Amino acid sequence: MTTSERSTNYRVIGTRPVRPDGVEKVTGKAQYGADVRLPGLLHGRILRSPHAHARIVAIDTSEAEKVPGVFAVVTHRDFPAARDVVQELGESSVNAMELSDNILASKKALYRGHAVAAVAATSPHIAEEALSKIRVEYQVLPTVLDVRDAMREDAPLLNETRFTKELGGARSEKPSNIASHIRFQGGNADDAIAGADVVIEREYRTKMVHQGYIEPHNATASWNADGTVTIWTSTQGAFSVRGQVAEILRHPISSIRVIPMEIGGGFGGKLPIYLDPVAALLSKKSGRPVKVLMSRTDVFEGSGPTSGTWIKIKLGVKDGKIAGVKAELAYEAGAYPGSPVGAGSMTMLAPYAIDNFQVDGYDVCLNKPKVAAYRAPGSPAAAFALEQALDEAARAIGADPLQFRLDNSAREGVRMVTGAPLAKVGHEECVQAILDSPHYKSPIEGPYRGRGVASGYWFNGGMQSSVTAAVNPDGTVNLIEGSTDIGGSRASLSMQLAETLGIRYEDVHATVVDTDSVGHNDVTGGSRTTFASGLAVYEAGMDIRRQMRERAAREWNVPADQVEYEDGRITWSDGAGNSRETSFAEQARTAPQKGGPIVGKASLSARGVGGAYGTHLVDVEVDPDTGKVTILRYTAAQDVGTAIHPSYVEGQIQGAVAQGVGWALNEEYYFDDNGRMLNASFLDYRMPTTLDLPMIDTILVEVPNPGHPYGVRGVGEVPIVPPLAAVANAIADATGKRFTELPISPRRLVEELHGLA
Amino acid sequence: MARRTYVATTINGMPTEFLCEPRQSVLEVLRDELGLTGAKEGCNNGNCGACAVLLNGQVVNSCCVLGVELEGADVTTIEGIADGENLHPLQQAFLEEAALQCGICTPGFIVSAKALLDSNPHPDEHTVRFWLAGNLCRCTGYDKIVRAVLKAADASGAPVP
Amino acid sequence: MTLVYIPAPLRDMCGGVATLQIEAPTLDALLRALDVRCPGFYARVVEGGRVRPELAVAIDGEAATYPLSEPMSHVRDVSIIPAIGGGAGIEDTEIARRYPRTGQRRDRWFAEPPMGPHVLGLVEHLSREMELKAGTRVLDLGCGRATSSMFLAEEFGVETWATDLYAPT
Ligand code: FES
Ligand code: FES
Repeated sequence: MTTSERSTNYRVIGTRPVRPDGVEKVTGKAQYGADVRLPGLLHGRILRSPHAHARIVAIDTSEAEKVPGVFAVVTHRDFPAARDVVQELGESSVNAMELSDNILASKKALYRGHAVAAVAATSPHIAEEALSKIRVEYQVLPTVLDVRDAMREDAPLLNETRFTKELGGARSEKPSNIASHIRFQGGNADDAIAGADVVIEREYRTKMVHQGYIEPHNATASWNADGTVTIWTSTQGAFSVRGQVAEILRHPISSIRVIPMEIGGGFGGKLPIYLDPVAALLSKKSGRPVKVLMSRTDVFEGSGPTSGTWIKIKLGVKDGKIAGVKAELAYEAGAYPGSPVGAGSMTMLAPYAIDNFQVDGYDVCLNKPKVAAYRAPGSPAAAFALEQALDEAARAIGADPLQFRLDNSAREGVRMVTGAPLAKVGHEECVQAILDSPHYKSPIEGPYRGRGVASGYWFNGGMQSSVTAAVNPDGTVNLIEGSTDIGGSRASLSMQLAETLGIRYEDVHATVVDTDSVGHNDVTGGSRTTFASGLAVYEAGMDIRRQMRERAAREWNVPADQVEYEDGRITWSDGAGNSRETSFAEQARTAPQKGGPIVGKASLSARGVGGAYGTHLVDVEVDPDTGKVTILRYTAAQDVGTAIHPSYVEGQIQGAVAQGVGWALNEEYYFDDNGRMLNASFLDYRMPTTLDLPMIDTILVEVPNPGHPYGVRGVGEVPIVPPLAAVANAIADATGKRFTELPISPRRLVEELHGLA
Repeated sequence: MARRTYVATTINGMPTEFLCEPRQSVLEVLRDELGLTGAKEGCNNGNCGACAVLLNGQVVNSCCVLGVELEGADVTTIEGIADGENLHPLQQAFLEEAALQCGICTPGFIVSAKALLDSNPHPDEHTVRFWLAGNLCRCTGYDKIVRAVLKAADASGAPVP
Repeated sequence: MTLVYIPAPLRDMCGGVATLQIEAPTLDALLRALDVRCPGFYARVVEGGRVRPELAVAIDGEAATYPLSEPMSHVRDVSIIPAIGGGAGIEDTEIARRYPRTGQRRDRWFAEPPMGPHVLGLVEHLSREMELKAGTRVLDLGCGRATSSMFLAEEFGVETWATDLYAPT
């Protein structure tokens, strides 16, 4: 079931056309990164550290180089010295020295799976054989794998020169694995909690989890004799790959061309790079194009999952209102600093109006892979903690959990913990939509059945986009854009252009092109593409409209500002009975004779981002004997601004809910004491299958974003925020036990329900 | 390098010959030797279904079958599902129902679902979910995929029992 | 008039207050005006002609990458927040590793945009070749803002005489 209320009358927006890249994808013709085939192509493979923490004493590649069929071997020595600069990746940023060290370890392996060398050979099997002949001498060091342990003063240090940085500029006396500490403070949380009627104090933990995109990372590079490099890769941002490769290899940006291939999922995990500079160096050394692929185990051990977390909350309620909150959040950053604890700290309280708060965030390094962004990075774990505490508080005062959220809801003008006031947002509308839903009105009965709700917030991103729209003589338009299309953005952008120009969706042909062929585009991340590239598409469409109006005005010899453009018709009238009319199609057809090609362009740094809220409702049934949790019914309400292509909006919500349910119930990085991930395969890293989920109902609440001509808000990230807590709240309702640690796996449930823990 | 073996088989109705090493999987042969890159590698150990093909009418994960086993076999890959320019009802339904986002899992789902509909033209939702549980999709939450398969079953025109 | 929301860790600089009212034509002018009220503030927020990468500015509720020239005349509300892009932790610099005394410097000298090579790093490098001790007299010709002199005086207790044609404003 899908509900959506629509007040506007667009012609194209809100319809559900077939996406432009659809036929290629259902027939197997679409070219993903691993599908690249080139003459003389070599296959690259990566050698990874078997130790979670070890000094690299020596690497001997001589035997590997002798294997017949091996063309090149590289290690960190082949990288130029990296600069100490920070590069923005959209939803994360990266320091070039650390990035370089993460791509191929220099002095130390900081986690199991850390890349140390790479081989290019005529076949993948030969490359693998050669890897086994590389001798690496390690001096194994003590590991630290738990975020709380890593914060202790006596913890093994990953980096002896790292000190805890404070936003105020201070830093710790002694070196520490805590890379930074941030604090948000307003009012007086201690006093407010002291005076509260009900106080909830709890600690919560979540485990490191992976984005789980089905397509492993890949990169193919061809280094030419003139120093130009072409890279084919699956990435969320071709320009970002280009920038990172240029920085790592200290190579001019203009000499690097990145061709974005179709991408098999990213969810934030394909913002950083892992393979591209390695493929480029292997190609440079071998003189042949080289394709490097990760195996699934490589993906788990050597790419960037999201943080495991420890969160402590103390929350006071007085007279039905949240009086004050104190929270501490410690997030695993992995081997290098940069967890999403900042975003977690900033989003945690965002659905509510809370005057008294103190939120402390800690970014903690330990011997696990360096985390990458994962859908609303930082926010789901924070919501897992807060939304459970709220659930307990609502129960304690006998309030309906949704009404309690409504009574405390944030709205326009309410300040977030950062002090920034909210623009027009739709949290109250989401809660109300769930309150009014048939699902919430239906009873939930039976033993071991329960119901849970939770809300969540995500900022969404703006950033830079460039597009070109070229009008063809037959009245069609080629839309040239540079935003990776992961989930239907070619469709949502084409629809916005068709709407702007008043033409048919089918008459817009969208192509995602390489970095030489369009102006800069930031990553497809931060739920920004339909919003920000959409804004650029709108501007390019307006540019075409302006050019057509001017041409008509010249021809009719009337002032251009009196010429109107509406629904593909260009008209003039003087109000005294004189009028002229032409059309988009006519202008397109006659362009060669009337001034040449018409091309609309736009490049912008998007402003007017609208944050997004969602409220979810779930019914579960727990089997007390096996610990299996069945999701009986799920409804997600979300403020989507304006749903350009409702099917893909629903799809984003449904997919995020599935990921959230997996995170809540099964998914985790399971390490042994030495830091080896014991479940680095899709068999043991248990993601939801078709059998684990019901249909997922969505309610698209449309509170148009005032910052976008069509009211677009990012929709892709916020729906992963509420599920963790919603499922935990439902399990608490079903079992009477509060689970503060994820995943709530069958084992944990059985242990808890039968007192075996 | 191990000696290569000569294999004669039929792929998407075309008699096909190739040489392969004993250690090469069907997935490798299809993608690296024959240029049929429609089947995808998601895990290379039988857990995601992205590499699914039909081997003598049965769904198999092609990463777990050796190339040499194709001798005399009849293989259908995603490239052979459409009838020339006419999409298979499953392909059409996937498009209309927006049953793909990134699309990397789509070839495997369509191949698996075809095997289901070939043997059971009118499955119910649970049967579809049970059948497709060997195919992972991380983008869609499966809702629209299951709907697309049910829709294709309705559209196939096969007699309802 | 713009209401500036001071992040908790910087409130000490500002006499403990959480908000300040400032009137300024641009973001840069606003931050400089803040610096007058809260000495050291500007250098905490701005580095190398831009807002530090680990920070973001939210203008009327919207966090984005704003240039320092961003007009402020119609802005009601500004907050300074950690960058959303996960990167709460930006590693200390190579300089800090190689020059521990310089690395200890968390005040505005260290944070100021270095023109060319890092001034304090170079001075520290030189200092290893020299016998500096309390009472040593140092002449600093062409001292600019005399950061090197102040650094040497604080680190080694030397007596410094510094001069320049350039007068800091
Ligand atoms: S690649 Fe064959 S099942 Fe995953
Ligand atoms: S559509 Fe991306 S994995 Fe299924």
